[in-house]
Amino acid sequence: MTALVQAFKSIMANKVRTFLTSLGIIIGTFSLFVLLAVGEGAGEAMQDTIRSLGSNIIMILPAPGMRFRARKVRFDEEDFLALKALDEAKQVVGYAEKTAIVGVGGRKFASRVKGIYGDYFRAMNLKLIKGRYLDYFDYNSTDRVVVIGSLLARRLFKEEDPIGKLIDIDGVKFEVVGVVDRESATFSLDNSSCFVGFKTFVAVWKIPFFNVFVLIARNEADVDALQNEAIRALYSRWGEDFIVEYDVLNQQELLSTMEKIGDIFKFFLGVVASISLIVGGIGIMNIMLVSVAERTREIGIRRAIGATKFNILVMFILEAVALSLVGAVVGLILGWWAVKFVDKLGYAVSYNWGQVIVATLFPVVVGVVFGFFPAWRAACLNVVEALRYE
Amino acid sequence: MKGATETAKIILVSSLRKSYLIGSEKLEVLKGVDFEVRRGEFVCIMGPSGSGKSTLMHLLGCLDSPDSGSYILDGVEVSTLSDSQLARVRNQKIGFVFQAFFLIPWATVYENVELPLIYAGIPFYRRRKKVLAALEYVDMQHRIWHKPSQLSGGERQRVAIARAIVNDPTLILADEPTGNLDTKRSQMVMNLFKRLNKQGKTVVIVTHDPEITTWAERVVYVRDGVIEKEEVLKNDSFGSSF
Ligand SMILES: Nc1ncnc2c1ncn2[C@@H]1O[C@H](COP(=O)(O)OP(=O)(O)OP(=O)(O)O)[C@@H](O)[C@H]1O
Ligand SMILES: [Mg+2]
Repeated sequence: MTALVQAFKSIMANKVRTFLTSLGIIIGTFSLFVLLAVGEGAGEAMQDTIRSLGSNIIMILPAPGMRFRARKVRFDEEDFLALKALDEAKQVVGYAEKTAIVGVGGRKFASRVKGIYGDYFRAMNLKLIKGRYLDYFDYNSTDRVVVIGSLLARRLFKEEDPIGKLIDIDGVKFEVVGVVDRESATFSLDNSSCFVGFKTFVAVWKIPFFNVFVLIARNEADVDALQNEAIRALYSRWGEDFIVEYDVLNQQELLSTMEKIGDIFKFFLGVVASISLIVGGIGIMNIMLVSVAERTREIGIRRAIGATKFNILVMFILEAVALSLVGAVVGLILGWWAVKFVDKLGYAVSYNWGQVIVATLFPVVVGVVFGFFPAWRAACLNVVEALRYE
Repeated sequence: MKGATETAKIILVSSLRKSYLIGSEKLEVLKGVDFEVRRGEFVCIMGPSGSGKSTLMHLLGCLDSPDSGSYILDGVEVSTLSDSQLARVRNQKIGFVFQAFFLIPWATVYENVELPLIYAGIPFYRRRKKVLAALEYVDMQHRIWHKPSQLSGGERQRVAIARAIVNDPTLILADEPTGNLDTKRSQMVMNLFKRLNKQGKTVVIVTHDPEITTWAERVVYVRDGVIEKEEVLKNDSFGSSF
């Protein structure tokens, strides 16, 4: 205990250096905590959303990893009609989507725009809270009308009524005709998205194919049959490419796919955060080596009056730990604050004591690991030589 | 009664050798030193610069280990001790005073004196009493919260002496403790050593100053890495200076 107090005193003797050294750990802890919270939150939100869709749902989605590559399969109206013709399908929706900048007045936000064909709102359980849904005429015209998610509405218009107002999507003016909300999920991307008719979408963004199909089976017993029929229908048109590039998933498969994607996502976030922590650790090692060199005489003195090698080893490791602990605490405070902020913005975050503990313990481990080598050097100094050191 | 005579000798050194490697050259510093100190004795070591006095003191203080030869400290052969046992010996049995004081610059007087007690594992509430007593002994209790840089040379050396005695060692080793002090301050520091000696501590001091040797009971002359001669003084300077 005395030793830890001593370690803190020692690093506080040189505040600027301590701050600069801890910076790597601060950034590392900050990103570890924030990425954990956001990653976890996004994952939970996805799961909630899928659960809220009901068990009759089947989705035809680009396979993970195929998302960003140019795909050979380009679904069009013909595919839509083929799916629609299936006996077991109560409802078929197709959509394309892209990221766009949505603004009104001075406010601007990044948002998803979905060009939908078929009653997406009912299939995906989106409740109308103002105005109207898109209707038959909207789907079959290129009128610039849009339905927006509740969160986006709040952000763009605050307390004002958005119905009838014009908003700017990627520089094109759209009239807001409705506001929808998914309340069954704690968070939903759809709550901050914009929905336009597919024909309008094609006219504005020139992306003339569907990304995703959503199918709703007539009843639960038909789900398997519908899944098979859908695969057969699309395979007959696109062949092997369809199998390679797309997944046809029921609710259970959607959940496990999302979980898998979430895990991969979290793993990469973790790797990124770990790398910054390790870089921070190298910074600590570096400054500890300098500190050991500077304090060679002191080490000699301590050894001369009775410190064992172990005492010296512990002393310097504790200093390294104190350095990283300072960084961890500052990083956590900043991270906590950032996560709260993200939470307020309406994005899904999930934070708990487990993450706090991970985000604190990791830097401490880094401190021990990277402090060990300098501390070992200090402990192994020859006493007389250390005393003679100028 | 061989055992009794052996433990009456707190230091028993025979054929002690020590050399340093400078590049590929081997520099022999101590070339077989035979040397004894009785319990409670006050010994001065004299000799020209480079004769190996400090090297010998480092060996006596268990700060370094010899190439060969035997050193029996308080009945224990030092070469058989492990590194942590040696640290314990330095902590409990020996108080070392250096010419350059060797106080930790960023620690206060109090913290410097407290340090050996921390390594001895003495709990906080017992440390305080011991530190204050040691500082009072060297008359430095009024500068407890000062840093070494705020003290004069004589004051620093007194603090260093307080640190050397705080753990109540039986043997006090001092390598030119007055080397950086003027005559008046040297007298003051030597008085402290004499007082400690009167209270039963064994004191071994290295010095260049013939004046200093008048405080000792015995003077040992080192030259070229061996003991050249010894001189026993009938010493009562302590009595005369008070
Ligand atoms: N660590 C070392 N490495 C190399 N040579 C050393 C080392 N320590 C001492 N020496 C050499 O050993 C010799 C004796 O040194 P030592 O310090 O024991 O002399 P000294 O008698 O204390 O001298 P002085 O009176 O000047 O303090 C010197 O020539 C010195 O250069
Ligand atoms: Mg010397």
